[in-house]
Amino acid sequence: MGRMSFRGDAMKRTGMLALSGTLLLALTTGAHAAIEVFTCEPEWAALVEELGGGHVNTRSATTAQQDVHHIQARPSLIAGLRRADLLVCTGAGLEEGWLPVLQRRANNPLVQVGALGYLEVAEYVPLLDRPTRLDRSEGDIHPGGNPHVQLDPRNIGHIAKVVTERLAVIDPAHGDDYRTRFADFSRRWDEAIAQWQERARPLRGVAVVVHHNAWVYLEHWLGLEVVGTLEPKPGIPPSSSDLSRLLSQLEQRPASMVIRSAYQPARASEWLSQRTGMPAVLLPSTVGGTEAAQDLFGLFDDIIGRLLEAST
Amino acid sequence: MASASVDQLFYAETTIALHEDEEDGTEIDVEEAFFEPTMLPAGLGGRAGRFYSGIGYLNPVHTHAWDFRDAPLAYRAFLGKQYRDDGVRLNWTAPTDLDLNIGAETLAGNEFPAGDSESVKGDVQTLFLDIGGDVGNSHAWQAGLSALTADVHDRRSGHGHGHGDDGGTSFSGDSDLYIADLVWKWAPAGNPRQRNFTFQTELFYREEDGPVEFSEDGNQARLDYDGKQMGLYVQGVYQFMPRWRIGARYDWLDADNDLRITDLGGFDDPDEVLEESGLDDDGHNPERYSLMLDWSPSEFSRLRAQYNRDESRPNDTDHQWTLQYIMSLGAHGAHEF
Repeated sequence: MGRMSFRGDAMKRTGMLALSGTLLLALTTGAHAAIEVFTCEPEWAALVEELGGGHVNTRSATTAQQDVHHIQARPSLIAGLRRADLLVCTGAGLEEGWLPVLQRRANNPLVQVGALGYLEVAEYVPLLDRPTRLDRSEGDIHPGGNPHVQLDPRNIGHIAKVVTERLAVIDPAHGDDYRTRFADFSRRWDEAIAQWQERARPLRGVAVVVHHNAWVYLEHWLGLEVVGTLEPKPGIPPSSSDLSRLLSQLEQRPASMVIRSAYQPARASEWLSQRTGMPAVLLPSTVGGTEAAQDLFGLFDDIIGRLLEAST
Repeated sequence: MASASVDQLFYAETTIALHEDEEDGTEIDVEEAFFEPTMLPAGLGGRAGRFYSGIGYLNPVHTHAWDFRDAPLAYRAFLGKQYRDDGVRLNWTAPTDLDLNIGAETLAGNEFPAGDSESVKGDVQTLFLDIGGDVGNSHAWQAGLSALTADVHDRRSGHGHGHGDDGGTSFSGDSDLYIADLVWKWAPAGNPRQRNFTFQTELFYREEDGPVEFSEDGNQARLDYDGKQMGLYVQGVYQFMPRWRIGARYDWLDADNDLRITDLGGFDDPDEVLEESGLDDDGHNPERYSLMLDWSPSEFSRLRAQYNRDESRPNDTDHQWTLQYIMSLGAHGAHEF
């Protein structure tokens, strides 16, 4: 009896060891199978997918239908960041209203500011619109410069290299894969930029009105000329007197179209469109902003297509 | 308020508030001052210093971010409006699809419900759990359970509140408080800028037992107190257009207190002692109905009008109208869910 139960115990223990061995294996292969990348905006999720392929699981905290300046620090976002190996955000103050809360609540040391798993891409491109005056009476301004850098595809090209290097540091086993994918993406991206620039040639010098000052990089790239902004100050919704003032200003200096992004209410730009006869254009400001903008290539295809259609 | 990362290892936050006090004039109050390590492994987090306990939903929220100008009746009754204390916290965020956060605190018991800042200190333990997630793109929710257990020493209330011995009650014993909370937020496509709705409710249950001393005009009676109390508030706040929000709230309290006089101590009338002690539940359930409308010129300021129909006291309905202006200056920390 004594021997039997001893043997039974030993067998049980071997069984347990084997089981915990399998669990450990499952856990470690799980960790190596794909690195978890949490991005603040959909454009960086799309870029990480281009560069990471099957080695990454990406998730964006926001969608194109949301105003990335004003996101609630929802529990699902805390849960997402808790499990992330890498956090990719625009930075330049764009997410300062919610990202610090997520970082504190997620208790994940891998993605805290200064850690390898924390990447603010706006640091790696020259920022436009650095404000000369910093005061809250000026509205929601970003002291470092305009953060909407994704709307110049050349910025995305620079950022792709930075993201690739960061992926290779975090997941060195697949470093060569990331670099190969980057080389391929980079070649296709440069070709696409050349084509977009060719197509967009008629847009140079076209006068536009924008809802929010979110398009400076696009304007800079394509040579659009902004002659008015619906928001009187960044982030402050236009009142009817703001719109009347803009209307009389447009009589002096007419524009070809009024531009807004998917998360902005249509009313103000449609009102202006009715008064002036110029078209109101919804442009995707990021991936997912329109049906056609399903990836980064589709994003700029659609932006240029819509601008050309509105300007003729 | 000031908050910042100290370095790559710590985050710290201080909130200093100015209060007007009838007796002492303007007081400077260190509302919160704490630090948190940011590099603990495996989802662990911590906090040490003076802070609002993580129990309930509204307790850790600063008053400027409240949706009504006053605390729910249950917060007033069970947490002295809002419970903050000196102590330490340990919490853990689980690596799960749903957000799961568990926390425990040990606090000095400087404040109600353990005692009050001028009496002998008790000590307090808390435990809380929150889970939350999304339903589609437009809905997000969070639910929580909390417990607070306090070892109460000489908690005073009544006429002579903390200032000398000219009367009132002093309670010592155990106080256990349980809170269940639920918050549901809706915003079309997850974009709250134009329109959004928040539903919020918390349910409180408290058990207390121990001796109570009641003193008045030099007489001192002793009572045995065994109380069970419940509280509830339900509120909804709707932003119907940018900058404008409307809200409604309902408050309710209930008490079932068992009081037994063990020593009449010079008083003649036991009924008078029971009544004057303020612990006797007289079969009245305090209720309050509130409506508010607020307008925010920017995210840094808010103007609010609120109406309360307050039925806290028996046979007395109080109509309260208030106008409130809230502003925040300087760098401001981001708000939680």
